[in-house]
Amino acid sequence: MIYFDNSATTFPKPYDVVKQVRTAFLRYGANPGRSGYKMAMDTAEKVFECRSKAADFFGLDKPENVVFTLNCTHALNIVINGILKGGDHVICSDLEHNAVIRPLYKMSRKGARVSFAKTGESAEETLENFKRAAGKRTKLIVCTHASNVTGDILPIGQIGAFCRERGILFAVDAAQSAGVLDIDMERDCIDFLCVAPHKGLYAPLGTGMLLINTEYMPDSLITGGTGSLSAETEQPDFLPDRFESGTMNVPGIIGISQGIDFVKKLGVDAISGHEYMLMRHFYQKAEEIENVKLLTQLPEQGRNAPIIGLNIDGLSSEETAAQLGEEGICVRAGLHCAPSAHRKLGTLKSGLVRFAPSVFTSKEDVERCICVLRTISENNYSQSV
Amino acid sequence: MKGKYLTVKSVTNAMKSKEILKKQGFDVAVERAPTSINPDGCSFAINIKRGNINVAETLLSTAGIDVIGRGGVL
Repeated sequence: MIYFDNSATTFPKPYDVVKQVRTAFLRYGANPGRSGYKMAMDTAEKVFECRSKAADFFGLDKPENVVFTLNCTHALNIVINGILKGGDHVICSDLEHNAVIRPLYKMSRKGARVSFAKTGESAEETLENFKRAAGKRTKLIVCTHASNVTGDILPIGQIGAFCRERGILFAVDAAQSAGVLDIDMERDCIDFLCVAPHKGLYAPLGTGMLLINTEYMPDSLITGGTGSLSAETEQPDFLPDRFESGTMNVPGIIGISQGIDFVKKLGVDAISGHEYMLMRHFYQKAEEIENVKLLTQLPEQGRNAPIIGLNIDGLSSEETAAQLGEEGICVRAGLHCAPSAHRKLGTLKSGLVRFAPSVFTSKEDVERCICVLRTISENNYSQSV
Repeated sequence: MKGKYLTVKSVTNAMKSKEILKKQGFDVAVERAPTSINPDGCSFAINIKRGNINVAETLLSTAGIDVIGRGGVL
């Protein structure tokens, strides 16, 4: 099997992650933050260790401001639902995933006004479009760091600096970028960072994080037991308890911890360097195949993430993905839960086939994939004449 | 339970307190807060096994950690 669906979740996971998750079941099986016996305290310590590592990794100085969530979508929902109220204005880009779009539409029905800033050919153009969209009532800018369809990278540092200057809250959807692109919340002026650790941090599925770098506290999305201030009926107002009601995914959190160690050991630059090298090679080879229509740009550091979108003339994206699947190549076709990005690309009807690598992808995987794409293209052409 | 205790709001605060105090040379452990210094129920406390409790409280307050209870338990 050759796995090219790493934008959905990375596979395989590093051996040390798998090993630590197993250890979690064997040694850290108590509910953290509830009881006081040794295993409960040891488990709580492991959870805190992960908060510290995540904070350090993303340039945040308060480990308690790392909130564990169900996934990145959950983190984005806490931010969007918890901040916006009727009359507020919010800006997002034209490349957002439904994890941003759907909560925004929900809030627009409650009276919030949503503007879309177009991403441009350059970082400056994109920044100008965000600036132009901002007004007196703009409370929040929420945008993806890197599109899960086009790979386009948004200039989050510049948008963040603008937000800080104007007193606008800034939230970043780092689902595709955390672990692949360098992120520093303080340097990039990010107030809320929403992370999918099961992607670029190689953690288990069903994990998410919200990192908070502001005194502004959104309303809680879920309320309930936190193991703290139990006599009170009000949800705690401090972090992380404000957003962490109910039992946590401890095996997943311990997996995040190990995943961060894995990425730190290799280095974000080394991981992204490997992925860019492979996908540039992929792109150049795919360009040579007749009937293959490349829909994304040549991956280039700083401009677009190392993912490739394409279609084969005469085949739907789903048909191409199915044929690749028959050859053991795992990709995702369709709209990737991001219709606005497809609208921009002109692929809203056709969708596209997305190829996304991880650090475990090899040049041999790329060569095999190119070979299969060529065969599919040739077979389709011969059938159509 | 024996020792000098500082109660904080959550297990996360307790773990952070432990880290801060250990770096300063204190010998501490995180435990469930004794009922007598647990004003809101289900809190966690730092058992200061070695070190001055007043200094510890100051260090935690400086780090932005709310100490919500303190006392010695025999």
